Amino acid sequence: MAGDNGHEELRIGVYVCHCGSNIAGVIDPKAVAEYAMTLPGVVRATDTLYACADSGQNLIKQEIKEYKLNRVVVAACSVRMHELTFRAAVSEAGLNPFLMEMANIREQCTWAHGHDPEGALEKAKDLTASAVAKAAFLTPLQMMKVPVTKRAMVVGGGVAGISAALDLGAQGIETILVEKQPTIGGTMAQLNKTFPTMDCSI
Amino acid sequence: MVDAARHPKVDIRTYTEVERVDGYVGNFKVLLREKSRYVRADRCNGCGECARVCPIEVPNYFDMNLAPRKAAYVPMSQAVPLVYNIDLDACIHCYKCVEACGKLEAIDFSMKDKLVWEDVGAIIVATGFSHFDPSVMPEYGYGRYPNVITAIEMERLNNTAGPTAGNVIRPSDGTNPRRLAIINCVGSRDKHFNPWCSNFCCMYGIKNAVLLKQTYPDMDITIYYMDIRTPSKGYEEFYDRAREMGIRFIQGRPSMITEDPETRNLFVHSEDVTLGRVIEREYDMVMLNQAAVPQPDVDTTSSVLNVTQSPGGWFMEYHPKLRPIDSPNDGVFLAGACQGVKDIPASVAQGSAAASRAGRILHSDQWEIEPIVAVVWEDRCVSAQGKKCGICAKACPYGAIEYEQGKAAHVVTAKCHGCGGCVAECPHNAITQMHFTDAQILAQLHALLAERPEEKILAFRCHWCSYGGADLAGVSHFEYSSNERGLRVMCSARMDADFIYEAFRLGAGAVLYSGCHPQDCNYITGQRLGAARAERLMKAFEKMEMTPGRFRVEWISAAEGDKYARVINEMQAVLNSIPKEKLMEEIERLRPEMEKRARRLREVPQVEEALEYSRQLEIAMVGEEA
Amino acid sequence: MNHQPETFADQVRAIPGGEHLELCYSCGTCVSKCMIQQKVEPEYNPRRLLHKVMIDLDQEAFADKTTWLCSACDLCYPACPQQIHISKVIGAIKQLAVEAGLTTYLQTAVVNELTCVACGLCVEVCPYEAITLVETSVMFRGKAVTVARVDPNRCMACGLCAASCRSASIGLVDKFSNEAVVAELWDWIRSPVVEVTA
Repeated sequence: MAGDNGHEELRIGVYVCHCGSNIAGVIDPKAVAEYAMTLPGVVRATDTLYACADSGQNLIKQEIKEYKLNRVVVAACSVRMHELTFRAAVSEAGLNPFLMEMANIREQCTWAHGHDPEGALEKAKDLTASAVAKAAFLTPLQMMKVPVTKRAMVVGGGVAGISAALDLGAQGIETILVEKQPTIGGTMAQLNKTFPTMDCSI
Repeated sequence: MVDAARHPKVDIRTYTEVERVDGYVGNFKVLLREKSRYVRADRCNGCGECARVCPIEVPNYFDMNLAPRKAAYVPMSQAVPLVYNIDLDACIHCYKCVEACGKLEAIDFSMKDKLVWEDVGAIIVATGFSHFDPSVMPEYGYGRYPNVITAIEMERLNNTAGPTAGNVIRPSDGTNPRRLAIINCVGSRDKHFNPWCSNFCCMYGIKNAVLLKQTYPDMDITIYYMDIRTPSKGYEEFYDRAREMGIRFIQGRPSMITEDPETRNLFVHSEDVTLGRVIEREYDMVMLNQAAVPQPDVDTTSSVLNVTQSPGGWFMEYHPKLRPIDSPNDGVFLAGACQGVKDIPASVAQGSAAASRAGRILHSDQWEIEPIVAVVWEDRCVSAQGKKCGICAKACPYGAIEYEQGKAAHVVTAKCHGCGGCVAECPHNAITQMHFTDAQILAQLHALLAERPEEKILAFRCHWCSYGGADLAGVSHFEYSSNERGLRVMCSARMDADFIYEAFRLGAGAVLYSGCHPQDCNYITGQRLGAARAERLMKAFEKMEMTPGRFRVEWISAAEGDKYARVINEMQAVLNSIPKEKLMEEIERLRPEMEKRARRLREVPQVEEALEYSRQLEIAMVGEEA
Repeated sequence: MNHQPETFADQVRAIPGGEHLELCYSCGTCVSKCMIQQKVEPEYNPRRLLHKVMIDLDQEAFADKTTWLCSACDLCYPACPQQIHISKVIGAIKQLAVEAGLTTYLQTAVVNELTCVACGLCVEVCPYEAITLVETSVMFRGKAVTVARVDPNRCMACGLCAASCRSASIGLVDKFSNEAVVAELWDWIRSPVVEVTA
């Protein structure tokens, strides 16, 4: 059904992470994986102790080949945490990185419903199903490459800004240091000696 | 400072402000306003003749207004760059300075502000902090009692380059104080003003005490504190040294300072917590360690630089532990106290770290960005059929959509940031967003509401803020109802009204429509688009006489985990308060209307397939009867 | 949910107003703001009382004079950097003390039931809602006689009732009885005039 040519058979792999006890301490990841196995298009579902660790990533990479997976769902933590990790992993196994979808069953499930394991398990199943549903309609995408202007701007000429500008300059990068006052130095220039070494601030 | 001035690769632009930032990672365009100093930097040699002859004196901000400067001035003698300024607000146009400058001809009253565009690949924000004004705490008498001064005023008094050449005197009579009280946590760790710990005040107070004790060994110095915090290397040792030098420490937060109107001496009134009783001690001078607060213009800065704020007004990092230097805006980095109060070593370290993070981009020839952009289905665009439309172009915060009647709208991919606002706004469903297509979102929606939808709280969240808020709720272990089911899009601008109708058609108990606060939007004005739509939806549901609270609109930042949890729990409470039969009845009553409103969604390419898949999924999830 | 036994601190927190207890970090601002501490009772110390509750010293908290002396003037409330409504926390402790069968050690207002006409003026003026009108067992013309009654656990001996009573039926005792106050006033009036120069 879905897919780049629209006719490719769906072969979704689902990986449910324990995250040590962070997830497994509240719900049974195996139960989520077994449940995922019943969903349309899913050909492989299993649990793994740490999906983000080398072992977990290797498992995913290996099984993409073994089960000829064309979509991967990782039910683990927040996309803000590990989306890039798993995109990289599936891409190393030859799958387009945008054919990977995550279900957040840690921050937004077990961590928030620690006292309600039953509700958390229900929710984890639903979130995984939702990710599987999205995965069914994912299409391969290419990262866009943009040119880079090799100049930097530092806004604020206090001690942090000066430090950043000097380091960028030392890297050979042309840097514009912008300061709204007539002199750089910021608050630190107003100080007498500074702790704990008591050297002069300027 | 001097190193920066000397560095061939560092171009210092003082007296300059950032007016506008366009573009994206690797390709920012920054508009700078170089304010006119009326002195030409290329000619001024810093001799100071102009200041010598200038007849006007005004207070110098740099010396906390304790000392005067001329209308032709540098704020301090070590200014970098050493270029004089003429303060036109004070100048009386006597032109003595022009005469004094002579052949250099550096003074130029015809100068105007200069607007310059600069192309840069990365931006580091290091706008620093400001000082809390203790005059809003009447109990300490700052501003009323001359001998109550702030720490930064003490810095200037006790500085050989300062207004008194380092002679610490009482403002009331010019004598050297013999008994000094230093009060910590003035305006910090105080819920009336700033709840945060200002990080460096403990050390700062101790430092000033040690310095003063070195200069004035007879001075009797007492530090009032709540807790002494000395967590960095060498700090505790420094604190020890202060104690060895005979500096007194009293645990207790003063509740009041009174003054003897004759001697102008001060009485500090506090509990000595160790003794468990109230003590009142007399001092000649009191120094207030005032809180560090965000810069007063932080709102402007955050909207110009497109960086969001944490509670209190500090700039927000992408992730508090794992990406403390990156802002959520790719290619923009944070350094120093603007991100949160920090002392000098930490600021320097963060400056270096930011340079290194920026270097990753700046040393690459190309930088990859996510292809989550909008794409037009040209055959569906009514403009191509000659009809007047252009709604998408108006919705785009970046001006990335080219619209011309008679031609299909065209998205300039390099300009598109992928908020999805145009997709949701297009009345003909002629635009889609990569990785967040209608079909994908719909499939998710159906999966989340497959089982007992009437018990569920469907929460639409934007990637940058409310999704982050939900994450933080989890990280902080704020418990909320497990009936919540989250659905992530990039921006509230993408939350198509059709999705909300579809959710209610499916029988969702409640729907949360959430995104960032207006000033925090990662897509400039994306949130406003979403907010306007949410308001229309709210009105529509009111007309349909939906129970209030079943549809809720909330703006939640990534720092507001507590708020996220609270909102969900309140929504659960609303659901709990409606009797089940009544809820089911309402869902059934509204279903035809919702169906009518969500119908257009079915025309969208791939949606039929998504619905077909969802049917199979529902069968798998709840069995045949669904 | 929480399977641990309820501690004394939990009990205080459970009473409205007591929930902010834990926020106190012992800065002492409340103590140095407090007039009772400075003018009446040097042992009075709300900071220490809150700490006693935090570490579950219930008997010590009940025996603490602070529990009984707080007049809820709320001078400390706006000064507290943690915005703890201290008088409410103390009120919660006092409530638990009363529930445990303790009564205040303070001298409280006393009603002369023989002269009280139950006009209710004192009920209206009492800032602590300590006075109620109750029926006694004494019958007069077939009806039970009603009089004012003071709840000693609420009365803070401020004397407002005494000052407002029209039949002098309610008042404080000893040093603050009507007679003692009037006598002190006479002493003051009869004392030699002191020249005050500006």
